[in-house]
Amino acid sequence: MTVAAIDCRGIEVVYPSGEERVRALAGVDLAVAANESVALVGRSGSGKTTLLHVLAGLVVPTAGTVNRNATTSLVFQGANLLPNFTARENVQFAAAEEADAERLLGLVGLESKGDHLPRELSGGEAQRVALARSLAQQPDVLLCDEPTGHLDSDTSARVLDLIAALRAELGFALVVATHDPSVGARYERLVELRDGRVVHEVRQP
Amino acid sequence: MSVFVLKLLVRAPLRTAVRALVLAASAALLGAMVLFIGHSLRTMTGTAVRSVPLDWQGPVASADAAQRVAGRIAQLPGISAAQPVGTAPFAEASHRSSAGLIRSGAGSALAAPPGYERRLHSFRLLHGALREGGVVLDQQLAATLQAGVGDLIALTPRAGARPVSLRVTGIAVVTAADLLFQPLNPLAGPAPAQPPADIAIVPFSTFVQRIAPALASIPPSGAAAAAVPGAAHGVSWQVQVQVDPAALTGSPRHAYDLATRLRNRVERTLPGQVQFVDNLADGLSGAAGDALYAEALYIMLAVPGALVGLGLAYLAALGAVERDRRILRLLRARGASRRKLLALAAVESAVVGAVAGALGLLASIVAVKWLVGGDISTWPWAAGVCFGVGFIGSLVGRVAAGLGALAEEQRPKKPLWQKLYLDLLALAVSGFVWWLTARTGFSAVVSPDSNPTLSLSVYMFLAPALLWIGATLLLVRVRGRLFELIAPRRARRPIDYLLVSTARRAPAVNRGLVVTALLLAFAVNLSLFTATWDQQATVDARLTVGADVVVSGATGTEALVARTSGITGTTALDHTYAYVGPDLQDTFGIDAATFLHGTTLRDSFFLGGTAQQMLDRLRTRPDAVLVSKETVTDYSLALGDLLKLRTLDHRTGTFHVVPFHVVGIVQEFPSAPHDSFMVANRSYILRVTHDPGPNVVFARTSAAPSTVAPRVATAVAPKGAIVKNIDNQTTQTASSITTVGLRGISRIEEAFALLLAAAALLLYVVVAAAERRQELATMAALGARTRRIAAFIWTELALIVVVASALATLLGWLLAEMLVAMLQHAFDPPPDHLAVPWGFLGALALVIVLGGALAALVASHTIRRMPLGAVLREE
Repeated sequence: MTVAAIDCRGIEVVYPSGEERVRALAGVDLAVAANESVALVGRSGSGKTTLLHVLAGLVVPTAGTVNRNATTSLVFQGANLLPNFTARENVQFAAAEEADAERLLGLVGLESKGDHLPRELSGGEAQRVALARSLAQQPDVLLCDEPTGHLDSDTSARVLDLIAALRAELGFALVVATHDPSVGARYERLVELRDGRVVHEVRQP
Repeated sequence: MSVFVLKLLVRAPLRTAVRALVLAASAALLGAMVLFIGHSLRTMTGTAVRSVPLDWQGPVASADAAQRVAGRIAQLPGISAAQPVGTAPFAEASHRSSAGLIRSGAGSALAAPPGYERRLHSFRLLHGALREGGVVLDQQLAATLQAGVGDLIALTPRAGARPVSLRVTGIAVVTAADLLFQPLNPLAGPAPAQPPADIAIVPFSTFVQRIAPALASIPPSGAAAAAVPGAAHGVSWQVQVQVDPAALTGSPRHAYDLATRLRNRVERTLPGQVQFVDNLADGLSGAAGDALYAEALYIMLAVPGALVGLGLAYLAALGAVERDRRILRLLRARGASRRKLLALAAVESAVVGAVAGALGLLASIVAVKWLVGGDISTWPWAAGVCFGVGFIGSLVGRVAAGLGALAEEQRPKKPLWQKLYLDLLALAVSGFVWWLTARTGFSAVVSPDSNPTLSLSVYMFLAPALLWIGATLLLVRVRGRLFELIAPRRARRPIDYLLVSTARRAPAVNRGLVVTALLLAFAVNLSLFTATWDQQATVDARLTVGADVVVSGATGTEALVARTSGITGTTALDHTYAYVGPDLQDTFGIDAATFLHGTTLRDSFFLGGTAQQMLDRLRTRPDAVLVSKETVTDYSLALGDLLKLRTLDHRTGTFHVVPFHVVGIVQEFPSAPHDSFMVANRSYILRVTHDPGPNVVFARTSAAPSTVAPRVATAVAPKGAIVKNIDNQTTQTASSITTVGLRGISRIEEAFALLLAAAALLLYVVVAAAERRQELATMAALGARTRRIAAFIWTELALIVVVASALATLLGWLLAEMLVAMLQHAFDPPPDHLAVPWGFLGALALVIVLGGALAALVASHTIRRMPLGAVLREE
């Protein structure tokens, strides 16, 4: 039997919102195998981002267990580059070696933009730097939260292609949260969330 | 709407608390200043009222009129006592003792009803009492006549008149002889006169029956003729009035108005019967001038601190800018009008301002009560200031923070002041004014020579105010570019990241730097200036009193003083008067060989030689005299010139010519007045004046003078001498810088400065953590440890502390130097250099280090507890 890179069972996440308590996840089971690619789809507020944060270890679930047998790294929806550091420094911040930063920037095609601050980069460039920064952590599982949410369709396609190419080269597992069914269709497994529950799961050709 | 606002505030308790507390601290500083000024002004009123021994003296035509008018005035409200009094010169007093007949020279008699001394305080009884048919002798006259209680003396009212025999019923010290025997001209006002050498106090009715018949009465309109001592040969009848101190409230100016109104009312009640020479108004008028000066000084010292405190409110509001924007966007999306949004901001500011005002008022009351033990009767004013500062500070801070954040995003053009280089202009003008002052000796003190009142020009505010403004604007203009100098171009190592981050966040770091540096500069300036002020007040007090402990008003006390425990050395001197031409000057007869045993001299007191050289010159020539520079100039004197002085001969009571030789110029001397005076050899002075002996003793103490002085007072009590000490001088001096006590306000302001400095660092961390939430959360999400993330905050904090301390030291020192230069004529003598209060500066450094350490802990705690998931989802 193959050990999953990440295995979640009965995940519940409840957080306060004003005087109310919001149940973001209500008993989610999800296992991600090594080298697997998974798309988490669902409408806004369905629990995709919360589930990614649980997988990344940023949110401790209210109930349930998470077995993490692999290293993870998260690519944020808005890139979340450190605003006071250049592209190279952002990648370097997460990398073990300085040379890694140069190599990774090369991988995402941004060698020439290494000295640019985030505010000097376009949305697509920023997202590629964020991708390089996540890869600098040498993850076994790359978690992407709406990686094309802020991008136009052409740039989105280029970023998704880049992620696919990198995955092919580096061999990490991939979990992508998206509300766009066409993006979800790119990956091996599709998991649909609604109101914090998995309502549909399918392996795709 | 109010409920909505309250909910908003309650849902962000930490942010609300920080905003309210920071505003409260600023409000408290100003509130405490209002309370302290009120307390200080009332204290000055009390001191001024107490320092006037006789409030009003109204000349009247006869003894009957004096009694009648005094009787009516005593019944009037606001009056605590009114007494009929007569004064007159006498030609001679004599006493037949076991040694034979002893005669005194001419003197003056005071006629007062028994019990007078319990209501009015122009003399105090040492032994016995004032009884009908008897006489009380001033202790100097008693010593001259060798008469005691029970002896019979003879008083000759005028030359050729029949002596009047009177039994001595008491011995007294006359403490207000200069006022008692002054010429009374209500139109001219008070004119304290040279006190007579010998004084006899006779019961009013005895005087009327036995002495007055031999003398003419001086009509009220002719009283001015008595201006020259000994010129008037008649009785001056008068009514002396003491005003009820409880009727004189508030500031010296207010008390002056009340006293003047009361005097007018009393004079109107008795039309044509009496008009007063108002010694009280004279004293209060002087105090009012000093009060104005004190207010100006207090405000000038405190206002920068309060303004920087409001800068903290701006910082505090910055921490809430993002949240405010989110709420505004939400409300707009829901259709709220611009007007409604403004009303919302106003209501929120009012709520925060009200909380801050209440806390500030409470803190200011506690500070004034606890730190200076002052009364707080001006609390309604303080409340107005606290609530005003709370509301306006809250609103303005919020608006300014919003605009500032917007401006940073939009990268607008340079503001007008930067284009006009107003910061550099302000610094240049400030420096020019300072240079002008130092170079030309121009003084902010308008009338330095007309002590007791110090009067200041607003000019004194110009240079320091411009330095504050210029330095603040320059720091804002620089935008923390200093930090770029220490950062590498590219971050590689972890430490590089810290420095690069600080450099690239320079404008934000600069906000913290400006506020912290200005607060520390405020504290440094305040402490340096007040320490220098206190140091000079001590020097001034020493100069005014003469020594640690001074015994005066009696002869033969030196041995008694020297034997008292705690006294390490003494010197006796004779204080008398002599005429140089028409000018009557104080003259000090000293023993040059022992003078430094009892007190200290500075070389700066003399011109043309050191203190030791001047003492040596006195020693080598018996008739040597040191005179003032004015005397040398006015009479074209040179060293070695003969100077003929008319000195008071105590044997005859008249002035006669005595030759002296000028050996030096003296500018300052212990216990000497500010204007002209002379210093000569004691033995020579005693010989030519026939003084019974030195009448002043200067003593040095090994312990605190205020603790030794009571023992000395006990030792010399039988002699009826007056004992003063340097510690108490500051509360007794009627004018000069010692009138304005800075210790109270500096204590309050220093406490607030420490508090605000610590608050500034904490606030910086809170704001930085709030502004950088997403950035810090991202770092955590990337796997950075809390320690590494917190290092980004505390590196900025450490750099702020180091750079702010350096800037504050420079700016605080410059400001203190500038203030001292502007007030050079208020200092007497001016300080050679600033006094450094190491204790306070050490405490300040400690607070900064501890505040920084605490802030670093807060930063770590905030990061550790950050809800990463929630923060990373924020847009």
